Amino acid sequence: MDPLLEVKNLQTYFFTYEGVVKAVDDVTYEVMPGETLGLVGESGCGKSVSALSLMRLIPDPPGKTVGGEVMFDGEDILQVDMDDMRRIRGAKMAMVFQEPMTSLNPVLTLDRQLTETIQLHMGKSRDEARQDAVDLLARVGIPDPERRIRQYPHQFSGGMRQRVMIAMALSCNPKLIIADEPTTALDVTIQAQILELMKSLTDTLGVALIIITHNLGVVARYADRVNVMYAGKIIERGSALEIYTNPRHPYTVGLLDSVPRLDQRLTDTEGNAAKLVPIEGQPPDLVNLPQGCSFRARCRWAVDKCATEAPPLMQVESSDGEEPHVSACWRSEELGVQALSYAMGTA
Amino acid sequence: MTTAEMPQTSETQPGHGDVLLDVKGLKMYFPVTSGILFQRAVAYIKAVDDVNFTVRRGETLGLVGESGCGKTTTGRCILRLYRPTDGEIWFDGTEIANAKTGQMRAMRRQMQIIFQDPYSSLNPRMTAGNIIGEPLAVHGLVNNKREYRERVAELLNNVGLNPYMADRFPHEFSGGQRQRIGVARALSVDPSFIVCDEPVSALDVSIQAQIINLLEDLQERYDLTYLFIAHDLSVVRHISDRVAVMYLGKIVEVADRNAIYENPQHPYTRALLSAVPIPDPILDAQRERIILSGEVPSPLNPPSGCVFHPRCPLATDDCTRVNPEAREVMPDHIAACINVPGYGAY
Repeated sequence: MDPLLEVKNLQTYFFTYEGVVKAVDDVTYEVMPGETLGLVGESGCGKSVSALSLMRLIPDPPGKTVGGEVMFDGEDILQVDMDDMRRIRGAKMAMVFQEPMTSLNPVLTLDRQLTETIQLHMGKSRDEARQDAVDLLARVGIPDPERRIRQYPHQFSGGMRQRVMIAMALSCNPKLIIADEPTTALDVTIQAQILELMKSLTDTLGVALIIITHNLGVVARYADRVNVMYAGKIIERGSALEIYTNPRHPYTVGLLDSVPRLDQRLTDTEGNAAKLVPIEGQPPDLVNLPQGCSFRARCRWAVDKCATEAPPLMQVESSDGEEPHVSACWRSEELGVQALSYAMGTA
Repeated sequence: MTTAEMPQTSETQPGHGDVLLDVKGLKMYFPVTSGILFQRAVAYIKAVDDVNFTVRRGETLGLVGESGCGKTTTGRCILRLYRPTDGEIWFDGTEIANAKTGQMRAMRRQMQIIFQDPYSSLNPRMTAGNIIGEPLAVHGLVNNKREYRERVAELLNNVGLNPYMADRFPHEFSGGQRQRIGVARALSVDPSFIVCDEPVSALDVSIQAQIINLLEDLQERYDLTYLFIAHDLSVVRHISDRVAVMYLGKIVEVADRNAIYENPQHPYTRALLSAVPIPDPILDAQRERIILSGEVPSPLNPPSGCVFHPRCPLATDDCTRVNPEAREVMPDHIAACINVPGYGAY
């Protein structure tokens, strides 16, 4: 099967007074039709910028996609002109943003906001579009859609607004939906509702989904494959199962160790309360990235080579034979066993 | 009912009981007003409605719930940052719900708070040293400049910052470092009790663990008692000894940490726990998943009977009429649900 989306060596930089911020630096990944891909990392690691670059929504200036290729459905999105981009955006690929409070227009009714896209991209009449919009709202679980569609965004709660955003994203039968932290602003019980809804809708409609999040639990539950990002680069990729059971990059290991989990043992073998193992230090400044591996300063396993040469993504042994597992660490191979025993000893 | 037995402990043995903080029948109603010149209350938002709980000396009580459930308001009432509408708050044998401002100022040497947002809770025009040192001056805890500087340096050290950072302004610090300043400020008066109001939710995952470990170390070193308010159930499980779950202004379940997470009784607690994904695809797939329908109702117009009944999978007709009070359903395990086996048996 050919991939639906191929991102090759994508570079998006921001040119600021302090210097060039390499928000996304040489990022390569692909998305298969219908799959759910997780993009995980902390704030500032470039995960949102990489998604915005795909939609060509980077504010220019100061931002600019300076290099790379984004092949989507047979064409290089970075080369098409803005008119063509407008036809792709919303129709073939759609986005669900983090903040349901600010991503809807407060002075227009839902009717106007939903039918606009459908009329524009699908060439339908106002009445047909309205009928479609009502069906969509019903589909995303909004009760009484005929009445609700005439209301304004402030009359909806956070969870309901996010449902509206999903309806809007689905309205033109896209092939790819990018969800940028879709549930971070929502409460736990509502989060579960929204994620279940997105997963079931994309599964039944065969839409590919990129979930961008910092929540490792969300990715574990919903993604097929996972990309872990750090300081503008992808540092590890594999099937969700591989990433969680056999992490090979010190940062991924550190992330998994540092979050408290519901299934974690609370005492160690001697009966003392278990401690979390934080990743010491701070993420690096993207203007002045250190030479070599950008995680080196915080890394427990750093060696001399890490200071001089940045490790590329290298294939590591995968227990899940089908899906290649890659990690950008000089010591991935030996790390496998060590890292896990470390995690087990403290968890 | 444990909560009914508590008053004797705190009144008869001030300062020597097992219980440091005893909250009884706490209510905090915010008026919704109408009219321009003569504002009159047309309705009340029942942010906290008849809440009872105790915090034992040296323990961490986790207070969890979704946004708008009243957990932060509860914490702020305890510090008397709000004047409660009704109820009693016994702190170390003293009733403080009706204490006067002057009395309260003295009390705040004993009780402090760490706020959620490390960006808005530090004055941007004060240096880190002055932010941490101001309480020392207010409470007259130092005699001269030299003592002041030494104490500030010591506090910075204790929270893992360098003493030379005292002259920097908040914008020069990262989120995690700012939260450390907030912790140092709370520690400056040597309190025995700290309300931690979502202290890690604004921080990045890799930094959260640093702050959690710091709070745990300080608790051990200074014998602190924490009321740990958070919406992240995994964090609360990690840090708490006992956990109280709130929903729409009421406490629906209180129990020992292990009891709550391994054997939750209230249907809301069960749903809340099942909604949290675990970062392990195999384990996660095996768990029971309860997806609650609907959303939290408005505290302006809460449902009749049990406030949870419109979303509850176990709701019966009785639930729409009876407001269940929190009772012991097992030894040391309190739940407010008439359908929990054992409710009313104790």
